[in-house]
Amino acid sequence: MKDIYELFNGIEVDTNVKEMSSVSDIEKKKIFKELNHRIGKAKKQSKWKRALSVAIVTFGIITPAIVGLSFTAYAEDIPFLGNIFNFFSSDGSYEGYDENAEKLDLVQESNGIKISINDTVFDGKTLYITYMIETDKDLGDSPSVNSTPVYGDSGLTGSENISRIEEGKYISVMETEHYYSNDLDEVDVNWNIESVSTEANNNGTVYDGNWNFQFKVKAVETQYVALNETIEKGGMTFTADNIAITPMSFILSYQHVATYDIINNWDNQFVEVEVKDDLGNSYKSLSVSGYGNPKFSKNWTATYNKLYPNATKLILTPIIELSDNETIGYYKNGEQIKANYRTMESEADYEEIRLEDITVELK
Amino acid sequence: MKSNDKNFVKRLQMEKEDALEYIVNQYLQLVKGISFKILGPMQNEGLLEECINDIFLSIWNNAKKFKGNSSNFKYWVAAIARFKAIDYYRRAIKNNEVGADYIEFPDHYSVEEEIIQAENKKEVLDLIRTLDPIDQKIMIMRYFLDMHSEEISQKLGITKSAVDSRIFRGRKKLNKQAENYILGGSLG
Repeated sequence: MKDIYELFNGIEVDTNVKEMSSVSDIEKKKIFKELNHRIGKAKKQSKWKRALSVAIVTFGIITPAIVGLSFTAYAEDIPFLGNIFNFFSSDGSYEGYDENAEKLDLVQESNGIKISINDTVFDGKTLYITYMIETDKDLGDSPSVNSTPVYGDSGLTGSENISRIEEGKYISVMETEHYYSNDLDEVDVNWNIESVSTEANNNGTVYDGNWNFQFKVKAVETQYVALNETIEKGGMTFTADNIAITPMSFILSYQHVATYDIINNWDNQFVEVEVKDDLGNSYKSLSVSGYGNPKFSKNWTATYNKLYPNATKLILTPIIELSDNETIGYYKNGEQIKANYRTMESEADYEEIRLEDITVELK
Repeated sequence: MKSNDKNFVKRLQMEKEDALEYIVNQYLQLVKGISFKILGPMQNEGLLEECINDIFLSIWNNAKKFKGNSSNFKYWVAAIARFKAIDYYRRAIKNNEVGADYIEFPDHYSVEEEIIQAENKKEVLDLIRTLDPIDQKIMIMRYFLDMHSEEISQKLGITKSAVDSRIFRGRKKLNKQAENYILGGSLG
């Protein structure tokens, strides 16, 4: 895919800058030194990360207990934070994130509570941030930071999972995604936390403060596989658009369009895709989100865990779930009064349509 | 081996640090001149310096995307410098916040204005990619490098009115596509 730097080829920009005074050798040296410092840092870090990830894998195979041990042994060199992804990865959901993360080490302290952002990974769609809270204050078992990072048009949703690792120390992975229909290369992130509370949504004991983080994140290298497969069944048209394969996950983009029949008969349409590969592995969808016209059609993106490197085919099974909301009463004329929600164990109408498989060649 | 005017592009693409030193020596004046022209009025030394660093880092990180030889490398550098400096300028302007009471809301924003203003320009790029090559060039020059029709017409050797009509057509096409693209969708 061509990006702006490729499109700049063959464009003749005015290079006439005579009015500018000359540049001194000292200035050149200074700039080069600064640049050298920055690229040197980037290089060193990636090597270190690679070494670390290899170590984790090896220890992990021998015995999981050693993983914890090896970290404490290196505690001085490797802050615990660097491994938050692994801490939350017991179900495999963050596998591969740590070695692809960009290190930030941003610290903000306010009202006796220290929040440090350690790593971040952006897959073009979802931003993952690992952070740690340290304090002498009693924040209980599951505190909440009452704010989500904002970038692009994100900031509407965020999910996180805070864990207490020891007295006064909590770690978490925050996930937020944007709603553009295509992936982004780089994002400016602004995370402004104004309170930390012992319960979600500013409940319980609330500690006000000001923890403001700003940083840029580049998306990881992504390989795209175009699909453009369309299937029609039962009034629904399903189109698989593409798969974006990142070093730690893959993201499937698809859309659905419903006919009037469906729209008139059902309150909700939800479309998900089961994914298996030719080696028999099945992939878990870590998140599914859809946006668009809530009635007629939606664009969906679903993030799955890391692709097995030896897989050569993926088998996608789209599943369409049609459901009705709760009926909470009846009008005098006998018409139902519908709620705008559906409960977990609802007995309202529900139908599942499994579409035929789509096979994707990866290599 | 050291970088010289024959091999520096190759060495840069191979991530040899001496090539970076070479391009800083050769192109700092150009990069600084372009950045200063755009960011000078901000009177912010730190911003200018950061922008210059950023330009060279982008050249370093994207060197493999340069297609050409040593002689047209300077145009590529100049385009990146201009693009980055405009980006810094726009962002700096945006950060100078004004109280909401003083902002006049325009009655109407065209879709194209909105996408051009979008902080991340990838969406616009995706749309521009659907145009034919000459229009791609014109739209990039106009909207990413902030060049005026006159300047574009000189560079491309076509008349100003041809540039204008191509911009007009390009905008129309972008508008049409943008409507069924990123904007207008409600969250569900």
